[in-house]
Amino acid sequence: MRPFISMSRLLRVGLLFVVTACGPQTQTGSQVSSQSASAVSEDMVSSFVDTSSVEESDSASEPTAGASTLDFPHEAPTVLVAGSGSGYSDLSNWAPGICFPVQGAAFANSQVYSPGGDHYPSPSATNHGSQCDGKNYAFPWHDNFCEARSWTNPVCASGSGHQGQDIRPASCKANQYWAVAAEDGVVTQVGSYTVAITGNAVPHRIFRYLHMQKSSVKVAVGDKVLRGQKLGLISNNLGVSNGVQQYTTIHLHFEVRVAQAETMSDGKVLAANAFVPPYTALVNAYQRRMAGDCDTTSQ
Amino acid sequence: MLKWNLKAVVLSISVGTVFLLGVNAATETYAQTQPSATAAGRASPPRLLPPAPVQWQSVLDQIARVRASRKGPGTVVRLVASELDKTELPVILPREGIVDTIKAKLISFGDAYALDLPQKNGVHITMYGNRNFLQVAKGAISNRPAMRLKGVAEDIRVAQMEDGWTATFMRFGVVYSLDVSCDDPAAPECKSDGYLKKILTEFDDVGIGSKARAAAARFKPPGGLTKTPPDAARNDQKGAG
Repeated sequence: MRPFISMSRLLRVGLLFVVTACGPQTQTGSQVSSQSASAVSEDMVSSFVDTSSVEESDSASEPTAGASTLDFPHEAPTVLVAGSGSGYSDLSNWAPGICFPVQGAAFANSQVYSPGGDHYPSPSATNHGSQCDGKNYAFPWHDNFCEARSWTNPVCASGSGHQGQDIRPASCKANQYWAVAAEDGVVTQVGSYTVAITGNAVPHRIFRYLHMQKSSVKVAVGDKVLRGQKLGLISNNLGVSNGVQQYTTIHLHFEVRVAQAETMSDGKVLAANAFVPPYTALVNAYQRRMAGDCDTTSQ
Repeated sequence: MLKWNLKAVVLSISVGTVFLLGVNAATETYAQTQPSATAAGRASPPRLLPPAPVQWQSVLDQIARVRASRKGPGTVVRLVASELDKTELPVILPREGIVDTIKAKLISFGDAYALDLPQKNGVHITMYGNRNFLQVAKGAISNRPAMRLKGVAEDIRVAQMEDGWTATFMRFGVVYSLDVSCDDPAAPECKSDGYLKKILTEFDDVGIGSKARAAAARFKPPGGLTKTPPDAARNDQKGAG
């Protein structure tokens, strides 16, 4: 028996006790229903028993068939932090079934419009607060695709904006939490703080991961990776400019690109690659993660 | 064993408590009117279209044009033949010259590929090809700003990325994306789209492997092919990667 219990199992078993002890409280929010709590409880009991008696058998290599989910507090897709941009309207799930790309607990929110960010509480403020402020490491999640940026992004109402989702790891510590592969694929680009993976399966999505610690990156171009496989440690790395290390906040910038096609009125197809909103897929992936899918803690 | 199990239970309760307290703290101040998270998370994916047909006549015409104008075998010799043979797509390549192809690495996914071309000073060039498209609404692409570059026939859509620039365009019925990213955010290659545009005009060569040649041979346009798929569109010599 492996003397180790994965994070999701700890989480689920812990939830069993807490939900049992203070069940009525958990009903006050819209996020944890009594149905989901009881469903998870049954699973947790069997998981716990299994863990204490048999070899750890979690595998992150494939999505859980008919995966169950556990909800958590998050703002709806397209709802950005007030004043952070005109947003977008596309609610599609552009990457269904992905493994949540950060090991363990995580908080999707804005790096710029939250404490420690350049626009918090306003661009002209003299004190922007600390990136380690508890607000940054708490629910609810916030979408920040299309957050105001100068970068061209035709999906955004304004024609420009953030091209991915920023995700903070479990705590305000650099180089402690792993970014993991969203799908089975091959590494197709590696920079000093970036990794790109192209998925094996159609439509061959391109996933890009930014701001990892250079020395921790465990993959090279051409490496085959499995869903949930560790890629590198999440950091505040923004590259080196003229010999000087550049920093951002501690977070993973996660992007998804796909090839899209529009059928024109003459029947011809016009196609292009595009950054697509990852938030809906990430919410779903985290819901599955909380229910045990793609548990990478013990790897 | 019992001691370990007790420790595990205590640790489990602690982790679960911390997590749920966080959830509860958040939900107390959280709007009850929030749309269903489950509904959002399970939003249906866009429709995947059948693999787009490659315009083989255009590919073969371009191969013939480039062959007539270049002196050597071209940069296709840098690619590992077995990897080139796996893709059914025409692999567009830079002419010999500006783009360093010494460390070129092709990764094939059958009807998609990535070509990694590391340059000096932490500059990375990656060309992606793909013919698996997800359907989007009318106007979603045609309304995007596009530009024309001298010497490039197609409409090009350029965007700045967090660490560089990308250009996407359609050629031979396939979608291509050329990325330029820099380890140094202030590197001249990434400060503007000038470098991206410059090297994009260099990508007018084409390499095809055995799968692509077979697909081209199956292609039967009205009146037949005006060119036959060239066996020597690539050199079988093993390249750097």
